[in-house]
Amino acid sequence: MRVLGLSGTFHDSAAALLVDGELVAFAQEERFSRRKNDASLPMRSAAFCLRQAGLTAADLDLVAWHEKPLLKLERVLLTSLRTWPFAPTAFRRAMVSMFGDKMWIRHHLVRDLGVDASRVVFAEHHASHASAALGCSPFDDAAVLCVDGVGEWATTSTWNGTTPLNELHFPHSLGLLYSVFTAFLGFEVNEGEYKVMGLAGLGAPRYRDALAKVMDRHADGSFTLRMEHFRFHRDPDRSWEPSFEALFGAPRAPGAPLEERHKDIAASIQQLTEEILLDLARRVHAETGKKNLCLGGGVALNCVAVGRILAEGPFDDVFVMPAAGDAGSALGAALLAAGGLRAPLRHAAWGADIDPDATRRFLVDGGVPHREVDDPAAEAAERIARGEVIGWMQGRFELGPRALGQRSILANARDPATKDRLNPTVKHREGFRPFAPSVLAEASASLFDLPRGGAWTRRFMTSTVRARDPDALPGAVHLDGTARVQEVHADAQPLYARLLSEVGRRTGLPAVVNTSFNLAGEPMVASVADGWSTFLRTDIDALMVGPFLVERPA
Amino acid sequence: MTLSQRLRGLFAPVWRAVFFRNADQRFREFADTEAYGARDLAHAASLMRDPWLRRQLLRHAQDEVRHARILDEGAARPAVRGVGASVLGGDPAEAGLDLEQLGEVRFLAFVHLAEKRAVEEFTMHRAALGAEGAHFDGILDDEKRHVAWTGHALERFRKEGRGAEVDEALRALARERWRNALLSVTRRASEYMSVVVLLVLYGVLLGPFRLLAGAWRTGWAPATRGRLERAF
Repeated sequence: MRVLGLSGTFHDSAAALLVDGELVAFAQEERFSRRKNDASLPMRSAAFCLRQAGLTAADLDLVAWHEKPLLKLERVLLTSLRTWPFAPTAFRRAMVSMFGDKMWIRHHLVRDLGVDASRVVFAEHHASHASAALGCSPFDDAAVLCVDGVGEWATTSTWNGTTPLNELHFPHSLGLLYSVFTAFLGFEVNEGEYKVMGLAGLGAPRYRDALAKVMDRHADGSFTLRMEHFRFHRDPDRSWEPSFEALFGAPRAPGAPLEERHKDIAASIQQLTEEILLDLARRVHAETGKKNLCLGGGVALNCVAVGRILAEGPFDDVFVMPAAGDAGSALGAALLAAGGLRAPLRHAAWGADIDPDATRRFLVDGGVPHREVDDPAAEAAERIARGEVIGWMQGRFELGPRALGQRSILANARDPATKDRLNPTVKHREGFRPFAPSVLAEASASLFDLPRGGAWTRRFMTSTVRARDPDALPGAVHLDGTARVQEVHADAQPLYARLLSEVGRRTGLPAVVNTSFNLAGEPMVASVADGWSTFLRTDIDALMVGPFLVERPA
Repeated sequence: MTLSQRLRGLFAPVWRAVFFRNADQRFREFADTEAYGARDLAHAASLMRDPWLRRQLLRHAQDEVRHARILDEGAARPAVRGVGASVLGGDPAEAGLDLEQLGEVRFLAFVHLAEKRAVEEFTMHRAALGAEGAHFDGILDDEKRHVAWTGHALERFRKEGRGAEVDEALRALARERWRNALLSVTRRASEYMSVVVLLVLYGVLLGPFRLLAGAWRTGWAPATRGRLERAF
């Protein structure tokens, strides 16, 4: 059976292909279109998936879309009615968006992909998330908790394996609450949430009393937003009411200096998010009695909260799909359409590969100075050990928002100057943003305080742990002493594991700083052309694409 | 002094007032255009079969990167959208220039015409900014070189017997420019009309149903809906 799963029209559109029960390819549209968080119909990524399997659209048995547009329309219409007469602009824009585009998904897929209309199926959004979370996990059975901004109606859902249990509905959404604060703190919604999480580590939760006035928490783990403080449900441009500003002060303008107040607000919303997720984890544990938990939805990418669930929650083990947000729902929809299939992920490299011949042609014909090296891992390790920053492009690119050693910028984790160099001159981003380490799995326990479970979250960098000695990895440990560690296993990523071994031989520590190979505001690189053009625009010292080394001209 | 130079001098204050009221923002936009151009050109180079064209595209991309760096200094940051826009869905960012979609002749014709326009515009910017615009000098020289190489590339196609294809591409792009301008006007007009129609709909028709809409559901609700269906 050949099933193509697709997500899109909101943010992070993606395609995933299953052939006879096996995952063959997965890619986000942004990697091909080069538009960050690209929400357009994922036709390039769908074409890539089909190419990878040697199929055409006519060979597909099913095409699964990750949400139900009609249910979404119901939510939009009822929201317009419930906020009448205070939401004329929201109504107008929503109607243009829904009837101009989102209601015609089946038609678009038939026209642009060339599939028969009868083969298109629609999965409920949280069912897609839950299916991805459970289907990609190593667990035979588990409780599932999905938390995001909003799907059709659900913003939070609990599952016993594949059986749906309970839901919280729009507008009471933890994801949207976090996004309100993301906008309030001057960051881009659906993009800057990581920044809020990073900023939180620098502040103190002094705004918890104020937060208690905009949200009620209940003993059963649920919560209710006090909508008199919000307007995201009726205003596309402004997310909060003046009463919200009375509690938290003036919003930060984008790019304005960060004050202690901003850090404290970030710390407060982050702490509240962690506590609510812990409450929800306890509830789903009580509902199901399962030993393992799978987390889905964009909020599951809050790795600090996942770290707390691992450390303080009731479950033995937790899994977070590396593309837990909307991109991953493409894979979830495909798994669901294939009959609730399982496709446990041992690695994340399901995107497009580096073609050595095409790379050579690009470099040679393009006149780009380069040389071919016998041992890319040793060459890169040597350079990293002496303090260079390397663009590392090897194998198929990874799924999800984290670089996991396929399209990464790598640097020396032992060097305290690494962070100060990477943020302003390589990544061109805010100075407070933390970097994450990749370490050989065998060395992880000696460097970090590891909880009893969570090995799979650390494989995909979806939880944080506390460093035993922050000074041992100054380039990769956040100011609060935590790190979003990636444990690298030689059986899943042999080349990357060897690079870490080589770094260990030279520095005494098999670890590197690993950050995504992109510039602020751009998606991670995919092809050699992307890597080369990004290399030109940064202060990376050298680019290693497959076996080819491109050095910066002196 | 030529007539065009005199005219540029005459219009310089107006041009400056229109284009550089927020100079930081404008430079940022220019920098983004150059950076995205570099990205598209590098991507096109990776797909181009002809080695000479590939090399020219890469060199061109390197120039655009340098321009982006020059223009990026002191630029303002972009505005942040509201959460509501994400809930309701907004327009995706503008698509890039795509060799796969356009084909190599049309792609190069597009770049050629775009560079010609860039020369005209940067010449005006240079005149409008006076001494402040000195950094445009190097960029202008590069843009003229880009016009020359893309023109030469189109000539190569002609010599290969693809003259009709080149002429058609240039004509089509010229037509497209006018069509886009017309579409932009009609789109704006239809937006205004849709505003009126939808506001009337909202104000008149939705109101009576307000009482039927009920209140927001709070607390846990059992999940009852179908999970996977052919119906959307």
